[in-house]
Amino acid sequence: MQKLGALSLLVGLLIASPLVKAADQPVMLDPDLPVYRPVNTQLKGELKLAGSNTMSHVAATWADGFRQFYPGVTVTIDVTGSREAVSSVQTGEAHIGLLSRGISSDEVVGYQKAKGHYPQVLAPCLERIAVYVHKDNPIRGLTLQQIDGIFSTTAKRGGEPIRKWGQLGFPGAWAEQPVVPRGRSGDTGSQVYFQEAVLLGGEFRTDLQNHPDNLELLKGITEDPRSVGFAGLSYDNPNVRAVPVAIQAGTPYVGVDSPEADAGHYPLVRPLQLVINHDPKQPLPAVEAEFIKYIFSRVGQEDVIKAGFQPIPARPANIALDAVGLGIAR
Amino acid sequence: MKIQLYLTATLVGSALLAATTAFAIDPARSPSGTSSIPATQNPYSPQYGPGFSTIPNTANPGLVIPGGTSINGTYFDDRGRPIQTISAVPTYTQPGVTPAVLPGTNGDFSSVNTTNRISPQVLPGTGTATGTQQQSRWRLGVYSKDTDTGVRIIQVVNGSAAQKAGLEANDVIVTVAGYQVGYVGGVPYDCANEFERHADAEGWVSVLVQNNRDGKLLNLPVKLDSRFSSIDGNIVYRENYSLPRTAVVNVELRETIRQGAPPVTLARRTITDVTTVPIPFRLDYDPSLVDRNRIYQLYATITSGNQTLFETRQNIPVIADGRTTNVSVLVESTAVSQPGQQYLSRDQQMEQVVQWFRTYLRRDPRPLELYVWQSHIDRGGSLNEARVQILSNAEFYNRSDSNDVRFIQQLHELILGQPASQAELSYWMGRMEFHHRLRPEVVREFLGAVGQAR
Repeated sequence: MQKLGALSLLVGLLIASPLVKAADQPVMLDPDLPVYRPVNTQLKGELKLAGSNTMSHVAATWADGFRQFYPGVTVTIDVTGSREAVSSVQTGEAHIGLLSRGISSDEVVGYQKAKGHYPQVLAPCLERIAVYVHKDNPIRGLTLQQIDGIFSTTAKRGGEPIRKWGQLGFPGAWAEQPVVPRGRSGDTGSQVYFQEAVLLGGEFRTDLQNHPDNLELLKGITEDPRSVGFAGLSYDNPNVRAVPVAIQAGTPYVGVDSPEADAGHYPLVRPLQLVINHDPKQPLPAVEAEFIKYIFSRVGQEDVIKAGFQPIPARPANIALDAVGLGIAR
Repeated sequence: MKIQLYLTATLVGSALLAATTAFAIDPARSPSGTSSIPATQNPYSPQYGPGFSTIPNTANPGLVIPGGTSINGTYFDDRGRPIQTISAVPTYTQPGVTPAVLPGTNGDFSSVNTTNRISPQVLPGTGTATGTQQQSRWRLGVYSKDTDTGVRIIQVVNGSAAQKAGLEANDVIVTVAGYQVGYVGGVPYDCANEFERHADAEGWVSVLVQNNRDGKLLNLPVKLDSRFSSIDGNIVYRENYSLPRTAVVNVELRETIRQGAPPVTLARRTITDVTTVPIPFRLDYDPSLVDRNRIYQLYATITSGNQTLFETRQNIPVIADGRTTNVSVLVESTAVSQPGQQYLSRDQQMEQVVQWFRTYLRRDPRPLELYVWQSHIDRGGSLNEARVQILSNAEFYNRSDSNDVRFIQQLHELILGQPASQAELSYWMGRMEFHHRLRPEVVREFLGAVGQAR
């Protein structure tokens, strides 16, 4: 399982570099992101991507940008869900998988057996996960420990279980009202992410309100002001409010849609990943290699913003390129 | 590693070793990609997620090189000429002398890329000259992979500093100027960062290398290649006009692979505190990137707030014809529209983008989005593509209840101002299927079909 370790490391690094040098300077992409320079040969061929629904849009944005350099390349995207991401690369139905949840150890083992090498998972973009409350809920912010206390029975972050709004300092009529946690179902990407990142692998409350999709979840919050739920930033709407999140008591609350978040300071970001078939003994085929270089370049990261996600800084981009033998010269 | 360099290397290396051992622990040093959120404050940050719950102490990379013999000697370049004495290399002494000073808090690190190492305590007011973007300056010329024992060289670039120093594939760089590189306790320390920190003004730095041929360690002085060549000149305009205090000059070097392909920005510089022309500029670029078969041009703007005052109307060719110094870049006023101008000005295009954000997403673009769309337009990207993106992103789709029928109806209502008929609805649902439910394709086709594509 060495590969899994390396993967987690990669994910950990994603958020590790600040995107800006100072809060009062304009927010920019990391200036050290590699410049994508097209190769002189006119690439031709087909590039098939398959997997995550969440990622299909950003993948289409990359495909459009890439085709401007290489009109002879056809990029197809099959929206089959993250479930199919690894298997479709394994069977050769797709060149690159789109995976918006962590890869499972079963998938890694199965892939290794079939191909003789491990799948390579790279994270080229991030989705900010917001903690939503009813629009009239006045709460100023929540710490990760408090969020853990709201959603879990395990409270692995060391706080107390939070079951009533009074425990969060709400006075009067609010104080005795229950906090109603809302989530998705067990195996959805954002649920798994939240469980690992916020609950530190702990257990959700048994009375968690499960919703079949994010829109239903947000509707639940709109209809019950006692609710707290989580979903991607793109689900924000006027009936709910995204609560600023602090890493711990005493550190600043960071809004999910603030300049600080643009600078990489918002703590809840979910990596969206590519599954690459990289045999370490062989170079990648030219079209795949150029596409990956494009994605991890400055323009590829501008595409990430266009598609509504958060870009990565230069360092993890370089590590990802190194991992598939496309590293830039040092 | 080629053996003939061994002797020089050992002699000089020992001297460097002595010079660097004293401050192998450097409180200013942090691992590559260190978070702006300090390690001590977020021991359980979810950012480090499953399997990466520990953030190492950033203070000590962990390696102290066992003491070497002190030879206060001279070292030599690849032709055997003496270069300079070790004690004259300023960057070798500063970190040790002022251990409490963090990078970025003084001018010592002006040539260093601070992106990865700035610490949050010094965030406000930190920074180098306003708006200039720091890029890495030095290059060894290797493709490499970080490992637990150091940075393993995969390939050496022809004609590079690495080749001149005798480095070969499978040699492992263990330390740079005494600082361990590669993965140290699971944390990557990029050798490129150490080059920036420790190379002297000429690019000299010592590296401890494990020779692939015999497994022995040896210290090797290397003169790194500079990534910077420069283009300099003046930006001028014809008008008799004083720039406002808020004026910002942006100048970029662009490369185009062939006519019609989108340009790529190789280098960019932002200049502030200007009042009038001529505005001298210097753009640093990496000479190894230049390909004689491609087109190189300068593009410049002068903006104030959200308003473009001047821009280059004709790109200025450089490099190919040997033009790299004293280049005159004429920017023209955007206040006067060109006779017979058919296209929207730079600002008008951005206003249109902002308008679409407001109409379709019911919010203003975020600063990063503004930046990205401005850069899209500046590179000659089409306004239609911006509209396609805004109408097809997840946010717009979620506002359409993440429902294909509702999405098609929204397109009709917002673009045509009328609801979709049953026939239109089923036609476009068919197109959704055809395009594998990829919304950008559908929106692009829709805008084309209703005559709204520009």
